Amino acid sequence: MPDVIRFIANYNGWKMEKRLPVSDSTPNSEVVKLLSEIRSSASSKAFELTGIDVSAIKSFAASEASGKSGPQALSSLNPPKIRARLKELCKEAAQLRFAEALFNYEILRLLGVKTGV
Amino acid sequence: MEGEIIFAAKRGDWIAVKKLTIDEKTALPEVVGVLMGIRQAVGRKIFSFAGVDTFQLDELAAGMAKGKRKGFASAAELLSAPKPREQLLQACKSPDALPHAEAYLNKALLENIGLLTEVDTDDFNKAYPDYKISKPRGNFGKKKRA
Repeated sequence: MPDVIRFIANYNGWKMEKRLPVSDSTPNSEVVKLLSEIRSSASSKAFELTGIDVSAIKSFAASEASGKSGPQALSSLNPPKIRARLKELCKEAAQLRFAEALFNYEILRLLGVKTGV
Repeated sequence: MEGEIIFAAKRGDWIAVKKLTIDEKTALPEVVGVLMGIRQAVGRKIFSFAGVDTFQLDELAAGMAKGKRKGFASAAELLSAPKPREQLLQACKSPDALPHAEAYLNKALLENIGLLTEVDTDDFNKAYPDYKISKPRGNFGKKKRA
């Protein structure tokens, strides 16, 4: 098997194909870039397929982050209020943890907290 | 409905293959499961290729988060605190990797206080008990749960 990184997705209208042949001269930065793209796509699609309302949760996170920046702003969030709103946005109780994870991801991103390459 | 999701990677000693052929019998959780598998397969490896020793930083994060409560207040405190530059540099192959090490430390700190940012294996298994997926191998510390 030659050194290669390959990702193919063809599912219910979602089509994506990425391929990178890898040799000794391939810089790690190229590998990192491709893997980050694949990871991001897989993660986003996984959230979407859990059935949570991705756009509503993203909008809610944007409203909570509005006018704030930096990790210190996390201390001003009201967890019971956030949990209650996320519960409202979930059709099933089992979705709440997925909704919370997406909310956390979004709020951290919007506040400028880096957690990825 | 037919389709497929394939991830195949070989770079030096690292080999990872995740594959799902999709047909009308494929259940939605199987698709979510394979996507989570791909995400898990590449998650740590991205930082490793970026020159970061993630296992060293897992230990550092576990120590920093020890005794902290779950939630946003702890996250604000941990993420706002000055980063231990020397220890971060020790986990880097070169100083260029320092921003990546800081990002990984942020992620590991959040995981230690139970602030997840991705579809989690335990939550997936709870939501879809018929399609349990295994956890990735490695030292992930002990997460606090809600």
